[in-house]
Amino acid sequence: MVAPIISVRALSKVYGKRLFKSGFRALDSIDLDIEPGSVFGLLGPNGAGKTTLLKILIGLAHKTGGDAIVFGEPAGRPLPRQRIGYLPEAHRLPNYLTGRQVLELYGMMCGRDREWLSTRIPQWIERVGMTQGADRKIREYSKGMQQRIGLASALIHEPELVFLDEPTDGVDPVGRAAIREIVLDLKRRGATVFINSHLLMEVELICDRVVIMAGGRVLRAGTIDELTPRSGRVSFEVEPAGERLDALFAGLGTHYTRTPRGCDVLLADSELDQAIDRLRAAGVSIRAIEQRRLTLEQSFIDLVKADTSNGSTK
Amino acid sequence: MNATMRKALVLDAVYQVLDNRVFRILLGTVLLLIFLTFAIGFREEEIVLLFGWKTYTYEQILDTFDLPLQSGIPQREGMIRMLQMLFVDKVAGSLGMTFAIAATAFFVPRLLEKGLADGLFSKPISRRSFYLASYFTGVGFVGALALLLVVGMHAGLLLSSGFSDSGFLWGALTLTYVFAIVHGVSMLIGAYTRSSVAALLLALLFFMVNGCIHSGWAVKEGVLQTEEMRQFLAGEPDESGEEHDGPPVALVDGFFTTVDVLHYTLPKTTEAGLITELLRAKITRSEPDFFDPKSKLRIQELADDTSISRDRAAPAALDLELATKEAAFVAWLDVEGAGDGVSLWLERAPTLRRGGSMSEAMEKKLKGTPGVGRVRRDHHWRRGMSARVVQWHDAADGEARARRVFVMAGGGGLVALSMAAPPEWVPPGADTASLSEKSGEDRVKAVEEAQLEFMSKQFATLEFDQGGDGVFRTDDDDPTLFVKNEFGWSSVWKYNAWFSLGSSIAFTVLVLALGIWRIRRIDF
Repeated sequence: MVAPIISVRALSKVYGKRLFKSGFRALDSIDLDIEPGSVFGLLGPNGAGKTTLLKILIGLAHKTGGDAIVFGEPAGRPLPRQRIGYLPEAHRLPNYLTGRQVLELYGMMCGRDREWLSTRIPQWIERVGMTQGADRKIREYSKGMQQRIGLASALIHEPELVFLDEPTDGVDPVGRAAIREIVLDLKRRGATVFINSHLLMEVELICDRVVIMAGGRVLRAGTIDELTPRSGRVSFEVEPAGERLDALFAGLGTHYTRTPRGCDVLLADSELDQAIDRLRAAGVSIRAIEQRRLTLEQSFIDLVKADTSNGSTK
Repeated sequence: MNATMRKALVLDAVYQVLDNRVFRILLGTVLLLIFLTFAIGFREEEIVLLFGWKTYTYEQILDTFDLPLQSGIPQREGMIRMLQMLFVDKVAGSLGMTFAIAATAFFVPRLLEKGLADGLFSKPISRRSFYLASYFTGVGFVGALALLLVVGMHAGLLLSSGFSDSGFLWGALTLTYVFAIVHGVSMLIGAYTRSSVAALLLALLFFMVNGCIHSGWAVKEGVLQTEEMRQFLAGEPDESGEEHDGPPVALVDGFFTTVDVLHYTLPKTTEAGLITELLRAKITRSEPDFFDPKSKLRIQELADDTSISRDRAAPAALDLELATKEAAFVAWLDVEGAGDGVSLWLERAPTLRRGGSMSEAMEKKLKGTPGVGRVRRDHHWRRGMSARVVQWHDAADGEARARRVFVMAGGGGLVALSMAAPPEWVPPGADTASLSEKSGEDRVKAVEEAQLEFMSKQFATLEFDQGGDGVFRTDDDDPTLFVKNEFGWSSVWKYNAWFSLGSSIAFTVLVLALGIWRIRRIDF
């Protein structure tokens, strides 16, 4: 079994705890193991503790209790950070530098020498689409441009573990596609990527595994398939479509609706074969059958709502 | 942290500073001052502007601006020294310090800005390293600017005026030392408030209040010493518990104790110039011809044809014994060709510090002594060092003697340079031709003047171990200058340069440690 790249045990964080003040519990005894080489989506409503978890792992915040191990060392130590890339949410880059200088300095701060960087910097500038503005001061950049250079600066030293907090925030659709491509490329390279995003479609597109958090706890962790179970709803695309289908599906499944190219119906597994047999027997040509899944968004909302109602009844 | 990371921190600092407007203004001001030293030529008789474009006499300038010049030195040198002091002490020392604080106060608040801090502190460099890099960057750049200022001005004066005073170069060290202290405080405030404005204003407030505390303490020490001397001379130690006019004693004691505690605890920025002078003296000076560790009296180079000896018996009576029982003999000064019956010697009184009061006590005592003629008491000043001169005539073993005693303060006590000689003695080096033309009262006066000039030359070779030229040779009756006179490497601890340096460095280290502790605790 591969050793986890991140191991978290009973991790807690309380903000603003004073002698006579209990403070705000941002993380509540979290357990988590992350194996290397995957893209993880970290999901949760505002105040779920996602950013706090990332910051503790990077060393930007201090844990109140429990353990957080990164690359086999307690989180926050400088040495493991050499292997980590981090793009903070609402980050700011030094406005007295140009984009190129940011990449150079941030790369050097991670221990990469200028010679090594001299070949990577132009490549990264091109990859994030900043060839035109790389030599302008950061203070002249738009938000999207800052996001692009920020991403490049987080990745310039070729880290093995990458934390991206809202990486596509403020970026146009073309830029988002480019960022998705970069993340997939990181995955191909064998890096472990943690993405904290509110754009669930995006997470669904690029993440292998997802961790859903709420109220400082992990509600669920698993693969995309595990978190998006089949809904039982089946779409049929047939030739010819039309009123004739109403009779063929009579008494089969529930929630039947006709669509321009066929129909949608909620079927039990045992009823699917029966439906196909009826269509074929009637000489209807089946073009496509799709078993519908819950969207990640629907799963997420269901989980969070359930957690909220559990919390309110407790 | 490897070399590349360190290089990155330095590079970041360079970019940050070069982008800063206040730094650019500072640099511009420094370059302007340097340009002026090239553009204004101080000649022997006149001041030349822009390589001959306009010419002014020294009198014109002095009259126009109503400027005072130090007496005893040529006008040209006096003017240059005055301008150097004005630009380095006042312009760079106060205004420049304010600008330097303004230019660096944003360092830590910017470092801790939300969003920027996340990116920087996620790098494999500790927060302590970032903090210290900010500190040393500020100190380094202000130091470089200060160095540029003094080296540039020195070069300008050397090339355009042919004037060179290497002592001026040490001014950069003073400025950097003071800034290093204040910058630490500014960073600490920045770490706690995360506000550039708060860091700037509070650091400036600290700089001013701190200066006031130390100046106040120095005055207090001088005043107490004067009072101590007054009581000593009057023979009435103040232990009576009598009623005093003015504020209650407990209140005054409490105030003095507070000033003491603050002075000893806070960094001594006002002593930076003195420390620099001491350091300069220590580094640049060669072995002295004579040094007396007890009085800290130093004769760097004996006057012409003079030697020093301690192997003969001390004089039967010491002059300082006229005022104190603690007087001790130091050494004989033997002047070749002085002739029979002429003696010059040095004595010291270790615990008394005020030459003016001592000479007054001597005068009082002499006036009641049989065989002593008219006693004269004057103030003598040479090469920036002052002395009280007591002169009288007496008769020892039936022979008339002219007595001249120079009393000066320094080294934690008093030193006297005494002379006993026949009244008509003509000292070596005197203008004998001119004297031979005179007779009667005129000749007596001329001989007295020649003897005084001879003593003055000997006096000019004396100095105390504390310091260098000018700074410590101050009027010993001014209570505000008492601490200055006492300050030295081997003085008692409260006037000791090591204590000043050590306590200031300790304070700065503590302030840096607190700042580091603070930023390490921040959750971003």
